[in-house]
Amino acid sequence: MTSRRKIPEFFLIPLLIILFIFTAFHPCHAEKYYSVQVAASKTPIDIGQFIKKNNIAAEITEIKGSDWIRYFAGHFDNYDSASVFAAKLLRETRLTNIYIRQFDDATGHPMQVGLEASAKQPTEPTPGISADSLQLNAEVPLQEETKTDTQLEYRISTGQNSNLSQPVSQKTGRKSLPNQLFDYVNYKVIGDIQQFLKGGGEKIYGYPLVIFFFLFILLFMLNILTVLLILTLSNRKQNDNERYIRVYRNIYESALLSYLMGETDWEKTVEKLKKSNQPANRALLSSILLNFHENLRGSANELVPDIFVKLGLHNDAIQEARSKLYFEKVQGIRKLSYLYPEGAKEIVPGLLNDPDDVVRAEAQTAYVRIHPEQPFDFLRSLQKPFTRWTQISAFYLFRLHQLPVPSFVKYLDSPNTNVRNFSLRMITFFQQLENIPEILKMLESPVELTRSLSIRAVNNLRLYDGKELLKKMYPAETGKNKTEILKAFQNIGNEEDFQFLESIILSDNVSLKTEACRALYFMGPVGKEKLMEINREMNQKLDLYIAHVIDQRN
Amino acid sequence: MKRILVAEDNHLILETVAHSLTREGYEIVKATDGKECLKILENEAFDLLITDLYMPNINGLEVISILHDERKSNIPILVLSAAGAEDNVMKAFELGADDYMIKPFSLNELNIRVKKLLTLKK
Repeated sequence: MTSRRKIPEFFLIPLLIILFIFTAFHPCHAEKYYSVQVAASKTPIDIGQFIKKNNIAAEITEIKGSDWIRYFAGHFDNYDSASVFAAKLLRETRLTNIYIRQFDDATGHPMQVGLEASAKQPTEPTPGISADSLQLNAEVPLQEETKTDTQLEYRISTGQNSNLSQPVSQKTGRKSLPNQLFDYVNYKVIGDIQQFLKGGGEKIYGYPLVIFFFLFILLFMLNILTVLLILTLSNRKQNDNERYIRVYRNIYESALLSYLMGETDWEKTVEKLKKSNQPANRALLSSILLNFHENLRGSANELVPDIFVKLGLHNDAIQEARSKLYFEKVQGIRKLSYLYPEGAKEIVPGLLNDPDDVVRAEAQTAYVRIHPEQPFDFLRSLQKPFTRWTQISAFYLFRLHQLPVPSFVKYLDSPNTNVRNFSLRMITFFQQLENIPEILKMLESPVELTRSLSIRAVNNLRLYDGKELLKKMYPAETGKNKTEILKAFQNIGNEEDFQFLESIILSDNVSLKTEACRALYFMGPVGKEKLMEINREMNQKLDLYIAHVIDQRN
Repeated sequence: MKRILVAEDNHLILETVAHSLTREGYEIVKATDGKECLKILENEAFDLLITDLYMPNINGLEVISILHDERKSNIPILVLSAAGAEDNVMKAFELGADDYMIKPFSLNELNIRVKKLLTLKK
């Protein structure tokens, strides 16, 4: 790579245009030039500093090789001019070891090792220095201006491109295996690749650049054409599939509709259901039957599960429910639970604790559907989480089909927290008072949400037995639960609880004070009177709280 | 012969309702969305409209609203929808629907309700 002193930018664009015209229409061929190497280093050096230090009055060019970074001065068409310049550098600067290098004009790569111009020159300046007066030294250490790896000695091989010469260790003895491997990959393999690319690059640069532009354009167009071809073919296939499905959907729907309406018998219907042994057609038939079942009720709908079994689609559904893929399992569960409940009863229990959330949710809602007598019995054996969405779906199904309400108290001893919480919600919703001690036990749960739901149950079910427990747990509770407890006292509190509520009113927490005021105010006439009394004792400091509590917008 | 317009985006339900009512002796015209339904109603007269609520383009509630408020049409409207929530039912009646059936529905019940609405219209 080459880096030069910065060229003013307004020269750049015209230069590029001229360069393009020149290279595009001018065939490239190998030209050579000469330059004088003044320094080499493994790490980049400060060129400005180097120039200043060695008193060089020339422009320095940096060329990065595979291992070394070399610095050159001057650009000459012939060796003689380069050597004159080299001799001048030796006389006028502090440089002692310099090389003359021959470069390929097209690539900018050095073509052969430069001849050293060393300090051992005649002290009398001569008008020109010829190649003969300069020493040839095949083994010359490179001038290094910065500290480098002192363990390595660079050895120049004559007649070869020195970029590819490999450093060897100065120290005797074998290298470690990792180092040997590193050297092999870094120098041999990469070097070979560089050789190959360079050879290819030299061939490429033998042709005008415009040819490569045309080749790139051609390649780009080929790429676009390939993409367009693939898009067209896949669209065509998709359209064909959709047309196929549309045609067969119409055939199957009209055939099944006629059968459901009692217009044709089963044999004639089967004749009309063409290609019903193809997998895609069978899937289509299943979806049509499911659609019928979801939307119709009554005598027409009663025939649908029979059709499903007669066509053998229940076997497909069982296979799907046993698939390893979660989306196939879900489809299988749905079809079985709607159209083949006997099969669903065998398979669904095994999927209630499936690791996949979606499969589990589908299995749980399917259970509610296929066990109308005990729709929530699966809660006993549930080990995996019972998600909120599944709880809502199950509850909705349950209400939609107006199933008999089980006693949710029996699920309160489940080890699954979700199950306990769901049961508490259902107990509250359905106002189930069968086993109050079990409900009150939930107040001691280590889970905050369970305690919160239990407090709400105590409030909504008016469980007066829970009052003392609430007062006892109040100091250690979270802010949210404290608020719930105070709300409960609005409904279950009496004069015995005045002291408890007064202590909260006298505390600093604004939201808890507000709830305590609300509890007292709405407890009844006695509570209201007590609140006014406390307000008077506090010099009317509770006026705002009372106003807030009374405001129906709150 | 009484003419009934059925607007339903579910192709199977549309065909089922059309088939069932055709057997009862009615002339059925089908529409797959609210926009098509309004377009047909502009040009042709019908004795009854059976519409779903949730359809593409213009939904059933908007169709009912446009028919009653803008066009001042007195065509009887029977809503056939899976949306069984009380809000939806109330809204449909407020906008001008004459009857509401929730899916899943019975074809026999549908036939009876259609007969009733057509009788009331006379």
